[in-house]
Amino acid sequence: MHPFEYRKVASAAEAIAQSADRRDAIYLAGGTEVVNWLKDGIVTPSLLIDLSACEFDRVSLDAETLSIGGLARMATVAADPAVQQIAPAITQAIEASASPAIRQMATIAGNLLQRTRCPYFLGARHSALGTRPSALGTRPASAERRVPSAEPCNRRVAGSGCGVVAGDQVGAAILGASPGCVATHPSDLAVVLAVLEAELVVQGEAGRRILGVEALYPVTADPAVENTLLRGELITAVRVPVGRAAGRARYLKIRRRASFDFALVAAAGYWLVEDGVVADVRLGFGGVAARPWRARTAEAHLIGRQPTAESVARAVAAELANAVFLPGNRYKADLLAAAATKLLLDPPGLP
Amino acid sequence: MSQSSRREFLRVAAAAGGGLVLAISLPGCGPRAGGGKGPAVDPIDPGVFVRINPDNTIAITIAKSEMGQGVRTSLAMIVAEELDADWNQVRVEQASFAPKYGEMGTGGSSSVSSNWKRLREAGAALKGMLVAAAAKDWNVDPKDCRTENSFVIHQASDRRTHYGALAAKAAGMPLPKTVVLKPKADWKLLGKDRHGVDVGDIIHGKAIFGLDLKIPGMLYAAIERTSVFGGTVKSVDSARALAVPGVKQVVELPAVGDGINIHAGVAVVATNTWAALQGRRQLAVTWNPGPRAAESSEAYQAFMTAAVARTGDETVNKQGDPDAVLAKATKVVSSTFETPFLSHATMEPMNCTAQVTGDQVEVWSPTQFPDWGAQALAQALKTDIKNVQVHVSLMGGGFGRRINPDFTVEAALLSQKINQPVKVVWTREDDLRHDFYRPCSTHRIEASLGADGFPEAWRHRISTPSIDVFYGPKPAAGWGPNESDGSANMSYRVPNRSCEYTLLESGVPRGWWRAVSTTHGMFAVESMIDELAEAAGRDPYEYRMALIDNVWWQQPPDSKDFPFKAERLKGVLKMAADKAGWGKTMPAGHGMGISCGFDHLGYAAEVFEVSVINNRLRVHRVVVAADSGPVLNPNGARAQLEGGITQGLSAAMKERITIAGGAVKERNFDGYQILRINEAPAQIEVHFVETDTHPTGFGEPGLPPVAAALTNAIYRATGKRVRSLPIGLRMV
Amino acid sequence: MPVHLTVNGRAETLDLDLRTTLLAGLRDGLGLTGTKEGCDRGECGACTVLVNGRPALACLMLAVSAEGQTITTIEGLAADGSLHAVQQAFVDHDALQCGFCTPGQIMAAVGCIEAGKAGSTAEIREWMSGNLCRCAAYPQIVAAVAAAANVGR
Repeated sequence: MHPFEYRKVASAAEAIAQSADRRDAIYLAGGTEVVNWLKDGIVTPSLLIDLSACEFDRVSLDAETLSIGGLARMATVAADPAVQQIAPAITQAIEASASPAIRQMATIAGNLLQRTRCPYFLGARHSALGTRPSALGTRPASAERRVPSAEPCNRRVAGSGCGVVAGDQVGAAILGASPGCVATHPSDLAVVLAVLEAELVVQGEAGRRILGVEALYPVTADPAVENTLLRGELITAVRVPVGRAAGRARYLKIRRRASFDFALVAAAGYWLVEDGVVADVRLGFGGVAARPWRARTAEAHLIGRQPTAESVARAVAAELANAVFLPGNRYKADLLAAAATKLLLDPPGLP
Repeated sequence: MSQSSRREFLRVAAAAGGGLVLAISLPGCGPRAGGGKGPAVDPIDPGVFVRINPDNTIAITIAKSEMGQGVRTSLAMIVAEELDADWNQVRVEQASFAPKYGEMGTGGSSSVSSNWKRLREAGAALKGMLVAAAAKDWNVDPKDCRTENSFVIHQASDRRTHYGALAAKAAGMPLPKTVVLKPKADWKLLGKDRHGVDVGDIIHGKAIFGLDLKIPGMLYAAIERTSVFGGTVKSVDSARALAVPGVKQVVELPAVGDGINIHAGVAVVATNTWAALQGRRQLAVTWNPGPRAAESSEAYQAFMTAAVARTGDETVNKQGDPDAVLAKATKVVSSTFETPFLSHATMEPMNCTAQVTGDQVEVWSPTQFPDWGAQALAQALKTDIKNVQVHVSLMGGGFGRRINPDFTVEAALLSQKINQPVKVVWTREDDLRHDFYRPCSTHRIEASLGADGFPEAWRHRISTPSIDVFYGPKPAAGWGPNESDGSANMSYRVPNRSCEYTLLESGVPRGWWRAVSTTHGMFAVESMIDELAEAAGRDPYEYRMALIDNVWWQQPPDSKDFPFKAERLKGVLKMAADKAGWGKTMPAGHGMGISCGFDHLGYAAEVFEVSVINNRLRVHRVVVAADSGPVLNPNGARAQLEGGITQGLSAAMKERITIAGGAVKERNFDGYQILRINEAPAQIEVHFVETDTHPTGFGEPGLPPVAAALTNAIYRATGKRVRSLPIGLRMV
Repeated sequence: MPVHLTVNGRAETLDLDLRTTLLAGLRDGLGLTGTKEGCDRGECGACTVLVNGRPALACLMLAVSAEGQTITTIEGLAADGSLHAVQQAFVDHDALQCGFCTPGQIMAAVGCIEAGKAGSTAEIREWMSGNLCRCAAYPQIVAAVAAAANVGR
């Protein structure tokens, strides 16, 4: 861990002021991401601004909006009666995330700002399951450098290349990837929020602005851009519109382990069937891109169709028309269709 | 009821303060046979002590290492049973290394079996002396006295005295010439559930594991070891490490071979763990990758696949002419089974605290083998073993990893270099990447069936990197017998059978992982027998029952005194099948699988009930029947079986160590995944067949049958044979 | 940098490098070695403590962030010498083998029960899934947590 200064602040305004004259300051909230980044040298800030004493951590509800503080703990949000009643998919997504212990600490804003679990980004933190030993195994290990930077990753070291190309492709993106990066975004919650068309309240030096959840992430994976927040900006709240989408949407995550694993693929959404055809639908995918993927092509495809598995399969195929597959992640197409079918036809029960 | 008159291993003495000490010398004491390299010791220098204190407490020295298997509890129970001691007054003391303790090494599920007789006789002898002392006092016939709960009682005169009050007098009594051991029916402690003796400390966080130890003036060290096996340090720039506050010194440590096998590394010594770890991150080490740097799991697999497709380099054993029968057979069933390298992944990473002053070496180590540790210390630090002290702490799991003395010797070498006491702390990453791994393996079995549907020929070819080869010079051949335990000595009757072995050269350190070679051999054999039953159109349970036989013309190395008995294996197989309801109709997508085996002198059979629905594998129920003789602490025995089964399941479903560029790729529990509580079977039903014989252990025998019981069940659920591990929780 | 904490009811001041985790602060700084380090990445749960009554992974928390907060470790769980219901249940159900993960399991179980997530075996298995046990005392851990939850009711 590089040395850094540490300041605990009591408000968003104070946090923003502290970061104003320190270009490389970073915020610390729940710590479950940042402390590991610090240990791994993924970030080397000169100033750590601890937000844990700030009070934008409440859940509130009015007629139109369910508002969740950026600093609210994931476990608190999942257990909140208003959240469970108004937007149960949020609880589903949170309870499918990490482990209960992590969820007790991690915050909502921090969850949305997670960085990819791509093994090459993490310094070849290799997933042992379901993968075959990668071609890296045959790379001559001459004059090995210190480990964390030994694997190529454009996100970690600009221009160093992408290890996935010849390596572990199980988690790689199939949509919205760029030639230099096929990372996926790990947040479960973001997929649900994209489907619910939630907004983020963002505060920074220039004041407050409102950002759609989808707009938080670059449209095409850009190794140099994690998110669209400006320097010093904070997510102080997530605002979820109260209504049909929030009430009906569900979340389904497919992973290799029963817990503590990131999605191979995930799907969020619902449909409304009237007169035997789909009258309203929302659908979003996780585990497929460096952002939560709102499947608007699939949605358009489903409107007016019969609510059958075939319709879903065709809609997902349409959504994936421009998908780019690697040998190691081809399975995602079928798995995604299966997940979307299950989500819409046989939605997972509520906790 | 058994009698014994061999009392030469007992000695008794008065203890300071009015107590009594009985000393027992344990198996393995005395000069090593054949002038081996072990230290020569006085053959009757007694090792284990039972001390009866005037306050009526009884202290029992345990010279085996506790790693969760309950040995401190079960060995104490054995003494206490024959002594008729009040269990609540029994205290356990951990022995530090001394030659007088004989074989202190804890492994192979052998602690109970190797100590059973002497500990019982010691308890009985001591009881006899206490009775004699009381009888003399009361002027009655010892035969009219009885003992109970640490009291000698004379019913007729309604007199009772507790052991503490009798201890001093009893010390003056002669050792009984013969003792009568209790029949099982009279057991009061043994055979009943007992909590572990360390539970009280553990639940308060007071139990001291190796990582928790602190000695005065101690420094802390983290060692950056070569990630490429066989690599050496080319150069070190330690300037930035030394600039970390608290870092005192950076020390280069060359590799040590000689069976100790310490990796080349650079130690950062600091005033606290945190500074040592921070300093290590700031090191800039350039490595010479060494000759193993191009090795990979893929290359190993390619070699092993080719090796089992041809005649093995070594014929482990052969009976009849399997090659000729197979060549003529119209139908040959052949299957290839693959297993990966595995890590022990004990919850407490390796560590050791050492203080070396001149030629005096003292270590505090969570080691399973303090005796090997002491020998290795003497060897590596070039001192006499008399100058070596090894204290044994509690261990956060062992599973065979802590047999090796590497972590113990490494700490002592560092202490010697810096001339200060030091604790070497391993992180999870250090531990996972510098283990002694369960070898990867490939097995190919080819078999043909006779007209009766039973196998006529069976040719089993194995390729692995041998464990033993890693610890010594490599002769031309002769590694097969150990590596093929569970394979060459499988217990099914086949008139023409052979086992061949081909060594895979590998730089990956290999070691003894719970149950060792049977963990892969039994997977192959028990899968194949299922496939043959299928080919013969027979029920796999009935097929096994018909074929299990005393065909052990080659006994496993440790079974000399406990030969394999086919009836016992059939006994557990029948019980497991009966309890599981073998043969009952299962819902679609569900299946039952069965498997059995003999490992580390214990017999186990298992039935797994699984479902595979939407590619999602779930284990619903596990039934195990085990026979290691009489069960001394059912609580502990159940825990050992459940633990072994779950570890086996974890390996079969999730665990794999991947080698790339001569190094381990996995770093932490995110990459090397072990089974979590919500993935473990909700139900493991344990049943005992208690054959009336010398008891053996439960720590290992439950593990080897797991993988095949699981994959056989998957086959019944899906029609798909899984022959390569790990399976993955989601079968893609 | 000095950090002030209330640990197991006692006011403590730790003088440490501000990069130190709470785990290292408790173990090295205060000698409270009951809290274990198994992975230092939030994967194994062996370092679970209570911070202001909520379970937290001490390896993912900087000690300095805990300034002014109330920490309970395994050493402080038994109030006035009498066992906490979870400790008693772990004894009664032999919910441990080597015992290394046990302090973390017990602290996580306290959190699980207080969060009202010990209502069924399935729920306990899910909510205890952040804590690894290599010895696999899992069936007994589930039984112990269920029993302790019943005591509380």
